[in-house]
Amino acid sequence: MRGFKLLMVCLFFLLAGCGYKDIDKRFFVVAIGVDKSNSDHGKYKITFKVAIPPDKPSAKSNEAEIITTDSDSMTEAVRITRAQLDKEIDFSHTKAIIFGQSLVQKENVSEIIDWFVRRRDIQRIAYTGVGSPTALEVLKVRPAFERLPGNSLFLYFGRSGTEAPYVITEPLFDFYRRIKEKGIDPVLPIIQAEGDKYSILSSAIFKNYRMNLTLNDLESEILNSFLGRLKKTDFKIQANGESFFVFADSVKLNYDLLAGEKPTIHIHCKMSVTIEESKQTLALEKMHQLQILTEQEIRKNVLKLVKKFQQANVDPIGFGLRYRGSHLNNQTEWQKWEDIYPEIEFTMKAEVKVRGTGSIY
Amino acid sequence: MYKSNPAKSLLPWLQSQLAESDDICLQKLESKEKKAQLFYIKSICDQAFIQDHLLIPFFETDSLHDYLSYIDNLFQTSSYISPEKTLNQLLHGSVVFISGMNIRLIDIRKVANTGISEAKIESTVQGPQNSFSEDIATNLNMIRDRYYQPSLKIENQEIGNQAPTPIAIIYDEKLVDPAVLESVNKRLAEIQGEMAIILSIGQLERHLSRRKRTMFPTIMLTERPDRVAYNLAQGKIAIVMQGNPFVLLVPSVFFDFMASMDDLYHTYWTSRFVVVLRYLGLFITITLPSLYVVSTAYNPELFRVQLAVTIAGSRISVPYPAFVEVFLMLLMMEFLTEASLRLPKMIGSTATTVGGLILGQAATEAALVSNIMVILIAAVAISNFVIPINAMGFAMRGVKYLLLFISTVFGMIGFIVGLVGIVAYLVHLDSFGQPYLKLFMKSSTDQEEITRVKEEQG
Repeated sequence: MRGFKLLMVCLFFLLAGCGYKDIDKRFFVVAIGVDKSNSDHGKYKITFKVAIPPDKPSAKSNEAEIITTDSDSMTEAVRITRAQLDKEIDFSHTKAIIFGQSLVQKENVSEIIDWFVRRRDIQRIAYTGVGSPTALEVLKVRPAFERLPGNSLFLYFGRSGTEAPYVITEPLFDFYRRIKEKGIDPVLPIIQAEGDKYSILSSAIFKNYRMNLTLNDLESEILNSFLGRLKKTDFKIQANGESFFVFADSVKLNYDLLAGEKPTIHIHCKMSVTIEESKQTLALEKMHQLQILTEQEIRKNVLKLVKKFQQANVDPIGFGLRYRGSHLNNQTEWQKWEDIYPEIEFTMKAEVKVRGTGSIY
Repeated sequence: MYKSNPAKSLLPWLQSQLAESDDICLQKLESKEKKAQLFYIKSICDQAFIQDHLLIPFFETDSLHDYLSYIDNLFQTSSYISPEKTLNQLLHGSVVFISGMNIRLIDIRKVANTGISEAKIESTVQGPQNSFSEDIATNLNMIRDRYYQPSLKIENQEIGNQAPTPIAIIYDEKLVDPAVLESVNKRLAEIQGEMAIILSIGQLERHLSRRKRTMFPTIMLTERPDRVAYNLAQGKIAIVMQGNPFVLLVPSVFFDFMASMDDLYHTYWTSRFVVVLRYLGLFITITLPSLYVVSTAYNPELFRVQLAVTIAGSRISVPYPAFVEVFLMLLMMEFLTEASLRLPKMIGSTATTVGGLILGQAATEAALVSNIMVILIAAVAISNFVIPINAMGFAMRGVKYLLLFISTVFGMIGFIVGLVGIVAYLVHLDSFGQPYLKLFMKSSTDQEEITRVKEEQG
């Protein structure tokens, strides 16, 4: 009995996964870029950004090795890249996956993403994005303020650094979910490489596994609020010859789906703002008027955006998923929604509370 | 008793038993019609007492009868039982008084090391500062003086069949668990049969616990009278031994070893915080070296990417694998700790400075170990000293190597199985029938039950 117990304990150790490999004998791939290949070696041009560790911990070093391979599949690309490096390639810290713009416009993205979601060692929290002009260009960027290779991108998307309102964060698991799920479409940030800086202003919406629609900065910002990922932002209000900026420290955008005789999506917006900048003198008596102007402007912009989605027949907010979730006729619901969506009516109520005109009186 | 008078044969017998030693003293007294002999060992007897309380009265009293009644009224005096017993008492500092057919034994033991010193090993900030002395009588006095209970019972015994050493078993009769008391007495009787001589209480502790090879202490050794009093109040048994400034407490479980007396003296949240800190320290000191190996060599995804790259960078010039690096540094740290323990206080600080600062710095400069390693080892060393009872601290020092080995070979799964194994081993241990991981020494219902049974019996 004792021997048996001992044996059982020893069997535990067979569960030990990968073998012993020191951390300094590994090359950490911090970002992977996938582009469309022009050569005849393969369909894809796959780029690995491999971090070169700094000699001294205090030293600034965002040195990285960029390795590009043409291949038909990720597996082959990894195999070829292995031959070019003297240490074991390690994907456990791959936290950015960039798809080239020209690739996702034409190729089926679910085919490319397959390798990423199948590999155990790629973290599902890796950030995804569209690289413009190419993923390779994005990976090559080395901002002067970056301390470690790839860290800049992680700070952008991780929300531990910047809180820029245009940056849409899309982790791999959510991207994959949106690809597979009916009624909600993927949206990825477009990362623009500009010299030694990134610029993340616009975003791309996918439909049928391909990039379908591009959103500009204001639209990305509103979508971000819709997705509940944005708490603080600012808006430009321009109406009746007046122009001023409001800073919103709390934005709540949600909607009701009323699928009755006449299907309607009713959007509520609650916002608490202060005036941040103004071209004219603002009188305290005009506060109420400012509030109305702001409400109108917000209403106009939001409705414009959702109608744009409707026209392009894309659904990044997930109205369709909400419909499916609240209707229990599994066979027909999706067909029905596809009929409803192009005709659905949008109404909106914006409640803005102007809390002040800033710290000048 | 008068059939064969032992008085005549006793003295020659005693002299034949004793080696010819210069401190053995035979004093013949004669005054008027009185004649007497005093036989004692000078070096352990109180000379002043002999002078003031034995010699002077001898010459002042009129008759032998008066003098004998005076002696009989001294509370140190006991009557003669057997030659062997007499020899034993003689060796423990008694004077053998022989006059004609009368034999008296007067205990005038003089103990040099009764001094009470400050607690050095288990020092507290706000609690009582003194520790036990090396004299059993002083220690009993100190315990009585902290635990004013009519039910406190002290049983004097001797241990070691060749050179018996006095010990005292102390407990609160109302609170003590009879089963534990019985097993302690049984164990002591067994030791009495087995052991010729017991010199220190640590030796007694080792023989008291049934397991011969054990990693964790199951009996506590303390130098604090307040801890003894506190534990007596919990129904534990204390064993005091002549010539030892420590007291044994049985049964002692894991959590006793993690408790400091300061926990009782500080404010509630302060002591809670310190207790949490202590367990955190315990966890760090056993797991940190193995976690380092596991997470750098098996699962680097555990770190944030920034840290992973930094560690990789700091290790890049280190020629040996992580486990060798850890093991080397741990060994160095153990040498340092051990060296500073044994060295005199003056040199001790020099050793730690040389070792800690210079070695650590130089090892990193020479790229033998990484910077992060040095921080890690320092954390391990410091957090080990957070454990309040040294015996447990020493035990934990060993445990981390076990965990390091198993983690190096089997990675994360080995680490987890190792941790589970340690807990399983602790669960399997017991201290005189008490489960080692028992949280509360005695629940109130248990306590009431024991008291009720006792009252029924008494």
